[in-house]
Amino acid sequence: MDKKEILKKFLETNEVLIVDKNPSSRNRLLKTMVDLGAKRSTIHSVGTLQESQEIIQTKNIGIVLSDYFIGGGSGFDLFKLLREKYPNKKELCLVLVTSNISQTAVAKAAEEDVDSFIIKPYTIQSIQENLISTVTQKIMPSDYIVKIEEGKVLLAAGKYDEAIGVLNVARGMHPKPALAYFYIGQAEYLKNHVDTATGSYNEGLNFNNIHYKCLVGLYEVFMREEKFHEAYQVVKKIAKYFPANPDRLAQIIRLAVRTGNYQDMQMFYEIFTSLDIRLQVLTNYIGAGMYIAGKYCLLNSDKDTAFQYFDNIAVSCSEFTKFLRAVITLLVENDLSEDAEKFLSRFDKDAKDGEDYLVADFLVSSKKFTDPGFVIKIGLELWNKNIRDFHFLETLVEAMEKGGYKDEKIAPYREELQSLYSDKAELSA
Amino acid sequence: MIRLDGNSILIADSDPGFLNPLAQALTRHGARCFVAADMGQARDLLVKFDFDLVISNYYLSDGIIYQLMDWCTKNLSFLPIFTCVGHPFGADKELSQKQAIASVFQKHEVGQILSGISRLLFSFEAYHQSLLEMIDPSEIKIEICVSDYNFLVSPLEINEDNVYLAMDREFLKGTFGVLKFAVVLEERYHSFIIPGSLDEKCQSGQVFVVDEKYRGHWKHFLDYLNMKQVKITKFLSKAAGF
Repeated sequence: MDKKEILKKFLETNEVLIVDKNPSSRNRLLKTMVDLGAKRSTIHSVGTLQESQEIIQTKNIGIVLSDYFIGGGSGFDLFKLLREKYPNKKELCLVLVTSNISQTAVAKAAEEDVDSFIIKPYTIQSIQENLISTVTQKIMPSDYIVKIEEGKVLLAAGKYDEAIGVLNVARGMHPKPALAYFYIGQAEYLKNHVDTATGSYNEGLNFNNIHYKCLVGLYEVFMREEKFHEAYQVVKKIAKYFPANPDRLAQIIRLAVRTGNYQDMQMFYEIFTSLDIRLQVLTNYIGAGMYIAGKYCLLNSDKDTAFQYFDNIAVSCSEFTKFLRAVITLLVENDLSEDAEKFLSRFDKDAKDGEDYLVADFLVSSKKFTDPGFVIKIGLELWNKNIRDFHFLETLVEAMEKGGYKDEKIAPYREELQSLYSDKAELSA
Repeated sequence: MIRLDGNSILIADSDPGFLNPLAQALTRHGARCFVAADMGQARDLLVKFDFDLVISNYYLSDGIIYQLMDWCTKNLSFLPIFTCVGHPFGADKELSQKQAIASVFQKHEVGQILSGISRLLFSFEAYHQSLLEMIDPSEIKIEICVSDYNFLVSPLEINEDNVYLAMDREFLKGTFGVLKFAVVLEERYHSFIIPGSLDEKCQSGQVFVVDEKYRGHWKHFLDYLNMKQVKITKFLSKAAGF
């Protein structure tokens, strides 16, 4: 049968869901789908995730065309819901139609197994070609894919050896069988044959060096084996090609710190800034990574890189005032109070009543003003606000000593310092 | 403050008393300016340099602006946007827009010429930002300039001679407009300024019909979209593929 006819037939017999915030966009796409063979009565067009949920509860959807950002979520959220609702519906086509052509959007589409990615504005020809290719692969899968599906079923049933047998047959049916190697790797991994699994994933990557599933499989093996340096190298590659996953970026930052790869932190920061959505939890991770890497560079006399990292914190993570406080504390500790003062201006106006700003401001002031009386005055104000911080207390006690306060007057502050921060207090003594 | 940095402008007029002060004013605002006293000089310059915009008197000593435009359509691969100076009647303005002249200015009203062409050209900030990023834009955004207003529109379906636009405002059929957008092609920043007219509004947006003279330029954008689509599809099938 002619491929155009296959698409037409598919559209005639399947319900279509179009999701786009913009009514004009929905209507245009609806008209295009009718032109390609869909029946008007079986096309449902909505603007939000919630409306889509209502549709998928009652209708038997065969193809979904969704924009990246939709009301109340993203197209990926919708695709996830559909996969959960129809785990065995192999013919379900999930198509992203979007003007968001950022690397992160494309990578996320690859990660999320989206069947097709159509750029908006689209031509009738491009949409037709994409849908033909997607639908044909779904309803007329190659023998290789059929074999892999057979292997996946055995894998899910826990019949690992049988699955490996079937997947080995599949391996011979394709010139670049990366996917078959991935599932063989999965089966070996589940059998606890870690080395064989590693070999299988690497074989897959030999055929296709950016095969997402093989890269992730390899990463998981290395993490399980606590081979952090190897895991880091793999996940760095994943982040380069698939920068969209916030969870993974958080893992990478942890691994970079753990393996001492502080020099890569700028690259991860750039990935972070290119993300379409920056979750708070990720901002927290990137802030922590930047701070640790910056501290490492500062203590190793690489002041320029350290300040680059601290500036990144000031620009992108200032919502977490704890990082600005930590940077300022570190700089004051290292006799860089003039530099520290610049970071004070990065606190948001609303954050200036908070403990982080008050402590940071006190530490900068303690270096700026030579009069111990002034330092003690503002220090006691913080004390009375029940603020306790090792550097603050240490500075207050020092100022009191310098200001000629009697021992019995200083004693309560010293005692508090000792009791709260005994380790640090001993070290600094 | 109007900034025209990064834009090249050709002024064609036989009156040096108009040419030179306008060129100086445009240069002060950051544009790279060239002047031509007649059509012959203008043609020579158009062959040597890529211009974003031409400001030409309706009447030149050796021809009229339409002849210059016809010559450009035949001989240049990238057509600049044309504006005209003169003392037009309402009917003249309508006629000139049918010929894809983006704006008609009154001579000696330098302030209005400046603000008018700044609406048509790319702003310094946007241009500079794109140069700084030098990466593919995350979203294809198109700005439309209609009746002295500029606003962003979302492109939906695109064809060889038109594009469906989703926009909040509605304009009468035949209203002249200019589309402005930029893309990164082979790591180089390319700006597009495309005149045309709006067709009737329908449920699926308003159709912008590209002026015939600019279809070649438009095709470059279509080619870019096709290339981008192929790259994305290839990446997807490789990364998540067999």
